[in-house]
Amino acid sequence: MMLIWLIIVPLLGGIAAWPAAQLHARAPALISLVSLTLELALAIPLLHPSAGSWLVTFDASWIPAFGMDIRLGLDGMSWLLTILTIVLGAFAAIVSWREIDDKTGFFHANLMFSLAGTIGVFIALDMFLFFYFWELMLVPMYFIIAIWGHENRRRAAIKFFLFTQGSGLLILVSILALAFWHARQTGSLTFDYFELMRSPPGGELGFLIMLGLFIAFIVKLAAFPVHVWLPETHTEAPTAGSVILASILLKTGAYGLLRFVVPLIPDAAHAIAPVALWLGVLSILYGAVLAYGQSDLKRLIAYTSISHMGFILIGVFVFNTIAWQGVVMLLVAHGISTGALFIIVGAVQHRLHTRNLDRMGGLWTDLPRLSAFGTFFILAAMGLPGLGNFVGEFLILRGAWGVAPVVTSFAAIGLIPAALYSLLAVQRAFHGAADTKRDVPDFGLRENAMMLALAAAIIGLGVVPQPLLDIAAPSLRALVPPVTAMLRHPEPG
Amino acid sequence: MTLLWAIPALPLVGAIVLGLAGPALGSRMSAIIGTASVGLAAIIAGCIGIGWLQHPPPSGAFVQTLWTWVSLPGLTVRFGLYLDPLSLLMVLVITIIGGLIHLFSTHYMAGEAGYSRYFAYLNLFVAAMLLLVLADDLLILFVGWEGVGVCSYLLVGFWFADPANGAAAQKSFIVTRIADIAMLAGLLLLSTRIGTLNIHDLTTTSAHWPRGALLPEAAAALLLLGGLGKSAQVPLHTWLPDAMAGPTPVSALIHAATMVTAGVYLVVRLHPLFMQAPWVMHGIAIGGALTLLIAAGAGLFQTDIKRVLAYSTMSQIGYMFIALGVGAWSAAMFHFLTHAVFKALLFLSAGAVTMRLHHEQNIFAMGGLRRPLPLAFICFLIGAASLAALPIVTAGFFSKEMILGALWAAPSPALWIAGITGALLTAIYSFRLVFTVFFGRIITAPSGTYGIRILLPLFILALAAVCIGWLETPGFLGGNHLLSAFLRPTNGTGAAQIISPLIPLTGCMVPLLGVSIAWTLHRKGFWRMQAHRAQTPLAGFLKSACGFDAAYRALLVWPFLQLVAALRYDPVDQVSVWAEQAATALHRRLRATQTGHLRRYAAWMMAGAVATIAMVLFA
Amino acid sequence: MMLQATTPMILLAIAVGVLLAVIACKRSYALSTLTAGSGLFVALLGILYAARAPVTASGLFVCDHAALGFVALILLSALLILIVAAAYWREDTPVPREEFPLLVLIATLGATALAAAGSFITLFLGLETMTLAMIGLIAYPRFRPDAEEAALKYLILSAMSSAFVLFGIGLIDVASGSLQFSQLLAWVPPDMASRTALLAGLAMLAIGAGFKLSVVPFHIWVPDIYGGAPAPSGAYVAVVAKIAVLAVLIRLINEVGGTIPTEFKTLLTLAAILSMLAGNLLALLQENIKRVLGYSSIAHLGYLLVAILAAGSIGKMAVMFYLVTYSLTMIAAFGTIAALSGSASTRDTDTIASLRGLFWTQPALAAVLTLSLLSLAGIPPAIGFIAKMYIFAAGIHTALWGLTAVMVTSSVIGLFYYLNIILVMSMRPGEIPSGRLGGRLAITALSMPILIFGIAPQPLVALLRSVFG
Repeated sequence: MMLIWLIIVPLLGGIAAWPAAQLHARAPALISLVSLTLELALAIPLLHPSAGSWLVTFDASWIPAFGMDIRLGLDGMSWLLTILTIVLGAFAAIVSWREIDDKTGFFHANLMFSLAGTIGVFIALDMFLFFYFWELMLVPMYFIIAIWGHENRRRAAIKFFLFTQGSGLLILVSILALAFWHARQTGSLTFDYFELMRSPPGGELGFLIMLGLFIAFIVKLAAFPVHVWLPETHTEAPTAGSVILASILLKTGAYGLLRFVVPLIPDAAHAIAPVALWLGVLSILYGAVLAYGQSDLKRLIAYTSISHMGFILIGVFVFNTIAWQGVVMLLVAHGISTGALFIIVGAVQHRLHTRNLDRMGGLWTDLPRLSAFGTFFILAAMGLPGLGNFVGEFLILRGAWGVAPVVTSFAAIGLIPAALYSLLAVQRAFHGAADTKRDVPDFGLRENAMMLALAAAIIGLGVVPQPLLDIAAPSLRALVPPVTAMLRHPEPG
Repeated sequence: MTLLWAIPALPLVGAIVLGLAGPALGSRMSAIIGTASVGLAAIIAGCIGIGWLQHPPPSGAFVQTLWTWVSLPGLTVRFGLYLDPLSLLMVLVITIIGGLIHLFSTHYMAGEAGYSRYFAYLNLFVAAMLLLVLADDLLILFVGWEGVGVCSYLLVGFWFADPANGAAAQKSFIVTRIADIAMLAGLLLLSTRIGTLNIHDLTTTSAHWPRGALLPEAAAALLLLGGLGKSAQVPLHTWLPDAMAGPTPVSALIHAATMVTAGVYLVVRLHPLFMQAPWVMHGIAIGGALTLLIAAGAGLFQTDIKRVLAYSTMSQIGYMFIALGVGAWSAAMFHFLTHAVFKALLFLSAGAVTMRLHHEQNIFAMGGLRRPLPLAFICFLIGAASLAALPIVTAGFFSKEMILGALWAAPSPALWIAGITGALLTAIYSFRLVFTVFFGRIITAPSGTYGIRILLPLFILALAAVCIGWLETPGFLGGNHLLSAFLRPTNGTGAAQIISPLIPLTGCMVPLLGVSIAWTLHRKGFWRMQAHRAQTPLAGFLKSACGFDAAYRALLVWPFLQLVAALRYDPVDQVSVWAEQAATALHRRLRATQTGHLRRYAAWMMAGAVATIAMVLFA
Repeated sequence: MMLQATTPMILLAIAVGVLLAVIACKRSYALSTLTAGSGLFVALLGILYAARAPVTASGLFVCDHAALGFVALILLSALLILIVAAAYWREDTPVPREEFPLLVLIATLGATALAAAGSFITLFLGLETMTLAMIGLIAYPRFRPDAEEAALKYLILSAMSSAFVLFGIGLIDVASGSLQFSQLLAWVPPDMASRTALLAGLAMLAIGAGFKLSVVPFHIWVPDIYGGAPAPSGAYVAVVAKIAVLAVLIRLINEVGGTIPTEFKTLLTLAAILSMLAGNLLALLQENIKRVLGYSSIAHLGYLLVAILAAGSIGKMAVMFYLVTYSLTMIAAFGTIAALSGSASTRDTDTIASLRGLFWTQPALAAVLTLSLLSLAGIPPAIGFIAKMYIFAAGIHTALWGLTAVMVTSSVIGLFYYLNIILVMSMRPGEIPSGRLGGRLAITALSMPILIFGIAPQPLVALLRSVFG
């Protein structure tokens, strides 16, 4: 019962926020913050040491005609991602406090709806319900980009929608095929995750089903070469939109791969693994090189996301617990660091009215706190040891090394351009001489508080990662049985 | 000894406080916090050291596990500290010299913008460096390893307003980062093969590996690359001279005394592994020799006082690496110790000179300073003498003797010859510096005065630079072996060296020869002429340390930038554009059929009807 | 017996008569709308009565549950369109408005007859009644040149198609000597000649159907008629006519055992593919919403054909569900335009540009239009999402991979123009002709099912199962 509330609360919040703008322009933001706090209060207690990997589940009939039910379930991994969603959603609401000043009601309604959809994606255990939420989170996001975005928002919004929706249809086809195949085996048509896991389809059909899901999810993950929607979207979206997109929506792709592709169609997943690994490498290098070439700070960060998601892709497809732990860690850490970076860029744009690195430089003299935080999070994203992202990347590489040393080496080489673009960004944005004296306010209390919270989180993850790993462990252990059986190289050590 | 954790913790706390409350504290408070945190750490370290000497732990090491960092099936990493004579020595050097340099900085940096930021960075560096030497797990060591790299980056680029400093900072970080990736690969390899990175387990396991097998060779080689990068050894040395863009105390602490010797520490720390990798050992020796000569050669032609010192640092670390290459661990550590002292001394006194000359660093803009700046002169002289290894009176002499002795014992004479040549060159360029700066006629008159915060560190270091040599002396000078005895639990008994009396003699003669050469050339005014005369190609080649920079720019930087330029606008994106165009084109084609003319429509319908009937009938 | 089964039609006929009398006595738009509405409503109730004694044996009419279901759908749609019309026709219209409901009633009578036809006689009668009334509907605002033009084009082209239908019926009669569906389809051609005649006849019927359903290649008339006709009439052409024709088609298919004759398979497949692609591509950069809806209706009929080809239990349900969805959505979409347009002006406010900023000036109508566009695009939470899922399910269940692939591609293309309209509505406001409050409320109300069934489709599914399953 608790789980259904996780979805209803933000929905209600959104519905309440919509008309609230008539009362006061800031009321909607307040409402969404309140509802998210409530949401957090609901979500946190759900984590408790439990025997199985599932902390809590919920089941209600929806469309019996197709064996589609409202099946929800929360395990360690989903819990982590849900919390991440709520927290960053709240931050997105906070940054919009200043940045969004017209139609705040509709904005926050959309914000809440998209968050509800995302949380639904993370806790749905009925394939069709999962797809339903998957689609549901797009429309509000589309509005956020299309209405409150920057210069080329319309094009970006439509591109975003076409790519995600197009890949969404692939998911639909795949899960229908999967369900019907299962029905042919067992005689019962169902979209139940656990039922479907019992009889993984093999052969050509299995491969095609997997391919559909795989493509859809890497489009969402924005891996090379289907990343093309990401840079434009992230750049044109308003700060809150970019935060949600980069910190949360990308993660749904990784989540889909880990939750559905790997356990549901293991054989086919192994068949595609080599391709996936090399796509991962390409994403890492391509993203990094392009990031180096950008002069729009926001776009630069967008490309770094592509690069980092490459690690995720590799981590998922080496099929061992260490790498998967790394994936979960990197998902959370990247969510935090990139979210923070987009907030900072948003702040810069709000003050300087530009994202162009050529028009920045020497920010440190005028905005020391902003620049210090910026440098910190850029270094964090670069994978500085002692911070969360490094733990994730190291675990992924460590898990991958035994399975695919060559791929891993190339991935590791990708860390060099990472250093290049990171330092370049620091140099061009914060260091250097300030060409003109800017009289703009530095980070205030609100922003400092957010930044400190995020920084503390990322340091905590880096210094004491074990608790997070423990939370995720059961869900990943649940993946192992179907997989390790056919692991090509036994996990060393 | 249970306070071990406090040693890295104190500077860290200092850094955090300074970082968060920075400007609010005011410069005086910042200085106190910054220096006190390191000073306290030094005191604790000192106490621990004394306690150790009185009754060392039976195991010869003390482990303090703080918490479990990662524990997964097949990979467990504990966040722990590992204290043994080696790390104790390092800790003492870092904290004491670090403390002195902090003290020096409080005056040197006075009035700079970002005063507290400076101390935050410096404290953070000390903390990271201490973590590096105390870590009992290679992954934790790597944390410190990258940490010092970042601090070095931040401090080199401390005066960020000047883009040149930024470029230097980036270069220093990138080059070492490249090396670190190799090191990371080494860590991955090791942890995958033996499931742990705990240094103690690692050394014990690797001792049993077949000598010269692929695994130890590969692992050692990868780790070594990391070491070469940090220690600025050929071919990854190009960043160090540029790193002199940072404030002089920073150069003294990071780029002379501590960070750049991390590579040496790494090899000594893992010497059981390296001993199983003979080829890598040869590599180390040869690389060391090359660096020694190239750097010494470059040192002869520099005109910037700090760059001279930078190259001398490279070549001195080259000595340490040669020693490592022949397995003389204690000799390497001894030279590390003396070098840390006298090089810090040199940098600080150089700083003391330049701060009186409005940060003029060109040695040919100086001259005859020994009269106006006697104290600085004496300190610098002691340092230079120690660098040149003048017999008996300097610490450098003893450590260099120890290394040369070990080299003589080595199979091939080539290394020894390289070493002795290096000694000659070192003597020449260090005294070229002394004579050019402090002798002859005064060119720019200094201004201002020194405070105690400047002089105290100088005196302490100068004293040490004279005395600590006697820790370890060759046979004919009493044959103390205090240091190697102290380090024995870590390094084991070094190979006993049979020194023919000839060797120390040469060792004594060569530096003196070098000094006299420098003197005669000075008298002839050769050095100053060299500054004005057009540079010969050879000189240029040597001055640029054999043109590695140019090579890298051509082979790595340029292609990368080309690639970036080629991809900048995301060629893949074109595909979506094409799809868009295709759809639009089709739309226009179809749209053209919607003429709005009834007859056209009728015709169209007739055609459709015919087609339909035909299809049905001939299906 | 027969009488009880055909109650709805009879009631409808009576209603027509009554309405004529009413209009003759007193000109009042409200009154005539009310009469027509109640007539439709009574007819709807009549279905419950008729359903007690279904007649499956085919005389002129076949009033089995399926047929009655279709009739119900037709009546419901007509009723909704009546509401839309009420929101559309303003007092200041330069023509008397009372006959509009009358025409709706007559057309609906024809449609019901068509839907329940058991013999080619009824089929043709129903078809013609409906068509002629619809021409009236299209041309109703005769002060509008493009309405006149549209009506004329429709008249001529549908005359053409009717000619084909009539010729087809003739051929079939000649070949088989019967006009009853059941007998015809039970009948096996003795020789090649009669078989050819039969096939040719059926093909000509298919042409007629294709014209009314506006599938490629008979879609050519769509833009002019949809663009020219006043919004409510457009809705009628887009919805009721298609329901009725589909009803007959499905009846014929069921009569031959629920599967398409092999001779028609390739034809339908081709038509489906072309309709899906052409419809969406034509709508791509179109800047008139009514035309956009017209084009998209082509594509949607293409989707429906996929479901028909899939057949099978899921396929059948898919057709029904999609049909309901399509009707609801189209009416809602046309409804918003109707509510925005002034019937007095020489053209509806139907350019996409004229919707600029609708979100901020008329949130309710904008929400309705957005919802229906999302529904047409097949995106949750609109019902269209479930419907599209249904069709995909049908296609995949019977392994029509090719058609499924085309559906995916064309839906992605389709997204573009639906989104574009939504985008324009979300821009900074321009000047917006304000709809009347009542109209807005009505439209909003009748769009509710789109949302409700989109979130909880089960009741609708169950209902359709019980009727058509």
